[in-house]
Order: sequence, then structure tokens, then C-alpha cells
Amino acid sequence: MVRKLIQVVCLCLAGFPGVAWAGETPPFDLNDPARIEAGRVRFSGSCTGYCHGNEGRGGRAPDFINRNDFDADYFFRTITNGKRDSGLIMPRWGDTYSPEEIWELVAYLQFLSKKKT
Amino acid sequence: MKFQSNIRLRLFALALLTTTAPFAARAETVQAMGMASPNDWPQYHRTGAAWRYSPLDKINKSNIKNLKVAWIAQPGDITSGLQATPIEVDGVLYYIGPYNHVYALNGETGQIIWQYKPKLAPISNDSFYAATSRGVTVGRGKVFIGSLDGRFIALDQKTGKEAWSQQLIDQKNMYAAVFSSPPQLAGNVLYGGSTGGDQPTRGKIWAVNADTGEPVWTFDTIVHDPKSWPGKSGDVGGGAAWLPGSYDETTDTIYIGIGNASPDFWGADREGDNKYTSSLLALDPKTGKLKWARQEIPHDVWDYGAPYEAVLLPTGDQKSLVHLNKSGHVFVMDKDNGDLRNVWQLIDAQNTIKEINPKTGELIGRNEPSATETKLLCPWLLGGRSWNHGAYSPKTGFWYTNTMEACNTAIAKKDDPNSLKTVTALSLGAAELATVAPPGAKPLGRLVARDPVTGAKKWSVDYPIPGLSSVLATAGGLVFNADVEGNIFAYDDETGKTLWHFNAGSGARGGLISYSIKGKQYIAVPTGLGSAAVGFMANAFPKVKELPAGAALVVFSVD
Repeated sequence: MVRKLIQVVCLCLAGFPGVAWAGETPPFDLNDPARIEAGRVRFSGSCTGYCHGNEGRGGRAPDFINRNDFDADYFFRTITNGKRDSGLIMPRWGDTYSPEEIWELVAYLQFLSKKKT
Repeated sequence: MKFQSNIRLRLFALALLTTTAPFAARAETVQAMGMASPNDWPQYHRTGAAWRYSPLDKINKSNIKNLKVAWIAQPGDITSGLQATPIEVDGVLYYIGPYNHVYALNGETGQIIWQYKPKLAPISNDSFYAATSRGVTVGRGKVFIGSLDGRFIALDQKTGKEAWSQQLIDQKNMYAAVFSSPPQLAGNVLYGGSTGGDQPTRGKIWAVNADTGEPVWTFDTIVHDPKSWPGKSGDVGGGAAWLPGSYDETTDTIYIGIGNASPDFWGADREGDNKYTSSLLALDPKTGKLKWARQEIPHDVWDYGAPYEAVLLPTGDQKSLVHLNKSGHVFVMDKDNGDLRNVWQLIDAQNTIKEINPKTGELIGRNEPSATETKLLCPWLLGGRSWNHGAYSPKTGFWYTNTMEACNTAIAKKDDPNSLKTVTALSLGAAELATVAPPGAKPLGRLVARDPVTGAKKWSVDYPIPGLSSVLATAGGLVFNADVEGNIFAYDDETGKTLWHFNAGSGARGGLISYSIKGKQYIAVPTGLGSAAVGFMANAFPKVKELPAGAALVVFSVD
């Protein structure tokens, strides 16, 4: 409860508009192969072209492969709200995809994080 | 009587000169146009000939070793880096940084004369291209920009105060398309196109009265012809004119290149030639009417647009126009009617089009992406070169340009309509997209010197990562280029030998220029890496992940 309150305050301070906060909890098991596949297809269509590369191995963002710091909430929030850092812009996808569709992307990113190569 | 007539004639001539002073007399030949205003860099490509060549020679092969930093200007924001080509007129240097922040600087010292930052509509913040600005245009007593919220804006050249602003793009219904490039002048007409080729939009070119901002015409880059665009496919067909056009004052003609067809890799729903995507257009500036068009890649399914510069050659009959397509093919045509004079291949890594008939322009042997198997496609979607422009030297007769030797693999896929609902959406029409090395070769970049008509190789320099800056050639026998690691080089224009080098600390994406004030020549280099292209490059060129962002305009001179 306290954690949630802190997160809400932080986001308000950060001024994120239209945060899909209702989607904070994954509505399905992130290890569900069908959801991972749905996320893969969505990722490949929207995220690989100019930004993150195939399987998240390109782009100037850190690789998604083989990570031990995977944080599902963080990925959900970043995809939803976008990010600006070190001269780079990631547009927000919260208006394009539903929270469920974004969680499917998160499921795919979690899958990638467990891949070694 | 004769004396009086002479005086009257002179007074008349003076009056004519005074009233037309802001608009220099029209050049009558390509040669004269390319060499006009030798001390300045008054246009995006310096002149309508699009040579990116400075006739200045105070900095030359004999003293280049003494080239030192004169001053540095920083826009104060590094988002998307510094992508502009600065403009210099009468000792004042104008440039634009991230989020349309415009500066007028003293060209000798870098001291700020004025600055302007528009209040941008919030929707522009959601654009895939937010922050990107490639330059300003100066003329008719004003400084013009295309804004990130879809406006043409005119500023008073002396004060930077807003003179007028005209909303042109309906961003809510055009996927937050932006004017990432500066609109260009053709007489009293200011014209330009927007981003949007990778999004489900219908491309347009807008033109306004440069003095008032009143709309004059629009040109639909997607033809209304069911043979070219079946059904409603044209409404989402792309065709963005996202780079600056150029103005041939010898014939009163605008040249402007049109980008790729959309969805980029999925062509099944748009069977047809998809005009005028991947085409070069010649337009009448007063009416927007088409004089001629040459489509280089019919039914593009590789993201091979044709938005790049139209270089006019001063050689032969002074009618040859040289135009690079993203496919890596160079089209040489008659500038007055678009008739083909030659087609040659700029890069080695090309497997999507086996051959283009140099007489007819017919594409022979198309290797198209498939929905059922992964295909290797060369060059990749960034093209045989990115949008960073080449330079032509009338001194050597060579054309100098960066190139890319790299490929991508792809599987074509119909876009999910649900993913195209909002302004951030991209319509790539691909299920998989990965950058890879060319078969049996290392991926690399090159600076090449070529005969622009025949393609004959003169010299080349390899780079471990493709260069993304626009090249500068000078009468001092020098070719300047800057790489993505921050290295700025001066080469011998005849041999390619490195004559000078400087490390700016962050890579270059903008256009290098040269100008002269009080007899002293300067070289201005926009540095600071920030570009969507860099993100795509990382799979084939992993080192780009480590390259620092930045934004600084570094100006050099010789004491």
C-alpha cells in the first residue's frame, strides 16, 4: 500500500499524463507462451525498426537479452509513458496499446531477459 | 540628351536594384548559380545547384594544418543531437537546435544576437520525430522554420521576433507528422513537406506566400489513380517529402524528392506503381503544378525513398541532374524534362534490384520481402546512404558522398490495425527486421569520390561505422567530412589523403559549411550525435551503443 502510494506520488510529481495505472498488475501469467508470442509479434512490428533492434539487441538502449535486473513494473511504466534520456526519445505507447497489450510486451521482454544469447 | 538618358537609365537600374535587393538577380546558368554569393552559405545546400561547395580558398591544402577552433556554440539541449545545416548571410550565422530553438550568432565570435524558441503544441511531444530540426531558411528579410507542431513560422531576420505563423499539418490526423526540415524559398513561395513515410499517412507538399504566410497551394504526393493505388491504399501510402527541396532559378523550377511507400515492407494491399513515392518531382513554384516526375523505384517494398538532393551539374550542356535513391542507385537525368541519361550503382551491397536499365529506368530482377520466409535485403532500410548530403566540386568534377555497406533481414507482415490507432504508431509492415552484415563482407561506411555522371571511382576512405554528416567541398582543394565518433576530417579532394583531423567528442549528423567574413574563412561543423538511424545501426555496428550524445556547433579558422 505504501509502495503504491509512493509510486502514485512520484508519477504525479513527474507529471505523466493519462497514466494507465489500472494496469499495474499483470492480468495474466507473464510466462504464458501465447502471451510471450503476442508480445514478440508486437515488439517486432513496432520496436525493432529504428529503436531496439531484433530481439532487443540493437538500438542505443541497453540490450534486453540476458539481464538479471528485470523489473516488470518499470518496463510497463516506461512503455506506457515513454522516456527521454541522454539525448534519446522513446515515444509513449500508452495511447496506442491497451494495458493488456503492453503487459504482453513486458512478457516478451521478460522472456528475452532470461535468454543467455 | 544622351547623358541624361544615361542617368535616367542608371537611376532606373538603381531603383530596380533597390526594390529587388533582397532577391539577387537570377542566375542564367547552373555554373553561375553554383558559384553565386561566394562568401556566404545562404541556402541549405548553399545554392540551388545543391553542390555543398564553397568557392572560398583561404583555407587550403597548404595551411589546413593550422586550422584551429575559433568558437563554439551550444544550443543547450542535446535531445536528438544537432542535425542542422547552418546558414550564414552577411556575417550572421543562423542555426536551429533541438525543439526548434533558433539562434542568430555573430559569425566571427559566436556571440548570440537573438534566439527564438516557439511554444509547441503538446501533441508534438508524442511525435516519433520530436525534437528533430534540420535547419532554417533565410531570405526576404526573414528566417523561416518548419515546426515540430506542423507550422511554417517566419521570424524577423534582424530581431528574431515572430512575423507570422501558419498551421499546415493536422497533426491529430497525420500521426503527429512534423516539419523536420526547413521549408525552402522559390521566389516569394515558401514550400516543404513533412515526415510520415513510415506512418499510415498521405503525403503532401505545402506552399505559402513567404511574406504573409497565406497558403498558396498544396501538392498531393499520392496520385488519385486506382491503377497506382487500389482501393483506399493511397490514404495510408506514405510518400513524405521529408527533406528540403531546391530551387532552379534558371528555369523557375522546384525539385523535391518523395519518400518511400507505406506500409514499408508490405506491398500486397497497394499493388501498383504507387506514384509518386520514390520519385523526383519538378514543380512550378507559383502554381504547384507538376512539370515532370521521374519515379525511380515503382512499388517500393524496401523503404527505398527518393527524398535526397538534386545536384545540378555545370558540365556539358549544364542540364544533367544527379539524384541518389535510397536503393543505392544514382539516377542522372535531364533537369528540364526528367529524361534519363544514366543510372549507376553507388554501393557494393545491393541484392534487392539486380539491375536498372540505364536508358529506360526499368527495374530488372526484384528481390522482394516475403510474408513466409526471412529474406536478406541489401541495402538496409537506411539506404545506400542516409539523408546526409553529398558535395560536388566543380574544381575536380567529383561528387563526394558517404555510403553504407549494410543489409537487413525482414519478414513482411500486414500491420495490425489496432496498432495504428494513435500518433506514435509506425506502419513498417514487417514482422521481423534485423540489421546484418553484407554476405561475405564486413559492414562499413565509406566516403567516396565518384564521377557523378558515369559513377567512375576516383578514391574512397573506409570508416568502421557509416558517416552521417553532410559533406563539404571547397575551392581550397579540400573535402570535409565528420564521422559518428566525433572525428572531423579534411581530405585532399584529388586523392582522399587525410590532411587534418579534429576530435569533437560526439558524432556529427548535420551539415558542414564554410563562409567568409572580412576576408577570413571559417568552417562550421555541427556536432552532437542524435538520430533514429543510429538506433537501427546498432545490430550491425554495436559500437554505436557506446557513442555519447551531444550538441555543439564548432567553428574553425586559420589565423
